[in-house]
Amino acid sequence: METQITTLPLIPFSLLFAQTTTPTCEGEQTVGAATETETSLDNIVKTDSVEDEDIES
Amino acid sequence: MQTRNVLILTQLPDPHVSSIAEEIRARGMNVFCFNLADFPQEVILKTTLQTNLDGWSGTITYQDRSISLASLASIWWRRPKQYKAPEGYSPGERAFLEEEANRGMIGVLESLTLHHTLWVSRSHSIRRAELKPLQLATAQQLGLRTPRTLLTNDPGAARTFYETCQGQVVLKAVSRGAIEGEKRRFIYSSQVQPEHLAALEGVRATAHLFQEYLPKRFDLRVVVIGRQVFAAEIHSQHSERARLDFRQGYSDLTYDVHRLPDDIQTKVLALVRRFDLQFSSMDFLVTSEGEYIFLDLNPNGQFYWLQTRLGERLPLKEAMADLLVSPKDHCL
Repeated sequence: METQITTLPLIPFSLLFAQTTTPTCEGEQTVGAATETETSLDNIVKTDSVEDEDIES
Repeated sequence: MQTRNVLILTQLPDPHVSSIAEEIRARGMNVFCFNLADFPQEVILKTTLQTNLDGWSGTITYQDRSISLASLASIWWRRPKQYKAPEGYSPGERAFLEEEANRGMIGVLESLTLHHTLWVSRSHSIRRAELKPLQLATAQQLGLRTPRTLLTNDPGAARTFYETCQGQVVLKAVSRGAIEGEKRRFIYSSQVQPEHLAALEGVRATAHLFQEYLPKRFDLRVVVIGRQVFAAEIHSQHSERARLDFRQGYSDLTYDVHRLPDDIQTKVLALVRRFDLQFSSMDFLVTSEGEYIFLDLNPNGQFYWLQTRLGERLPLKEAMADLLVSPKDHCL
C-alpha cells in the first residue's frame, strides 16, 4: 500500500505580521482595473483599504 | 447644445461620489453613474463605429436614463466592480461572458479619449502604477529619496539586509496586503524584531519587501488632482499603535495642511505624469532634518477623509470636480 506524504506549506514570513483589523479611515484602494474590495468606515469617510479583486486588466 | 456629462464608474453608495457629484452639478454639469458589474444586466450599451473618423457613437442607458457617449467630458474610474455572469453557465462560459462584457464596455469608453473625454485615470495606468517596485524605482529616477529596500524570496538576503540596517527593518506588503477569509487580515508596515529571525525561512514562500526603518517627524499624504498638488501632515508619533503605520490608529491622528517645497512638488507631478495618471495619492515621511522620503503611491486611493479633517484648507473635492468638469483647464 502506498503511503502518501503530505508536506506542510512553508509559513510565509510576511504572515507573521498579519492582523485581523483592517484600516478604516482612508483606505488604500485598488480598483485598478477591476476589482476591489472595500472596508468601509464611517459614512463620511468611508474607507477602503484593502481591497482587491480584479476587474479588468 | 447638448448637456455635458461626467461618467463615474463605481459601486454605490460611495460617499466620495455623493459629495463630489454635488460639486459637479454646482458647476453646471450632469453626473451619470453606474457600476461595471451592472453591465450587461442593467446597463444597456448601443454604439456604432462611425465611418467619418468620429469613433464610437451611441448611448448608455441605466435606470431609465440615457446619455450619449459624445456628451462625456470625463470619466472617473472610481471603484467599479467587475461583472459576474450568472451561475447557470459553465465556468468557461462565465469567464467568456465576463471578458466580453468587460472588454466591450471598457474598450468603447477607453476609445473616447481619442476624441473628447478625459479619464481620471485610465484603468490600465492605474493597474500599472500599483506596482510598488516600479513606483520606488520611478520615484528614485525622478530624484525623490527612497528608503533602502530589499525585495526577495531569499532568507539569506533578508538576514544580510537586517544586519546591514542594524536591525532597523520594516516589512511591508508588496501588494495591498489584504488576506481574505472568514476574518480578513491585513499586513501593516511592521518592524522586524530579533525573535522573528528564526522564521526567516518563510521568506521563500513568496516575494517579501523589506525597508530600512527611518525615524520620522510626521507622515505626509500628498494628493495630486490634475495639475494641483495638496499635502497633509499626519501626526502619529505620539501614538504607540499608529507610529509605524498610521492606519493602525486613525482616531489617534492629528492633521495639518503642509506646503511642499517647490522641488518636491515638481517631482511629485513628474511622477504622476510618468504613470499617465490624472489622480494619485502618495505617502512620504518627513524626517526630523526635514528630508522628504517617498514611500509609495496609491493611484486610486481615498482622499476625501482628509478634507473632512482639514476643511476648506484642503479643497480636494472642489479640485476633483474642477478636473472632471473642465479637463482642458485642469488636467496634468
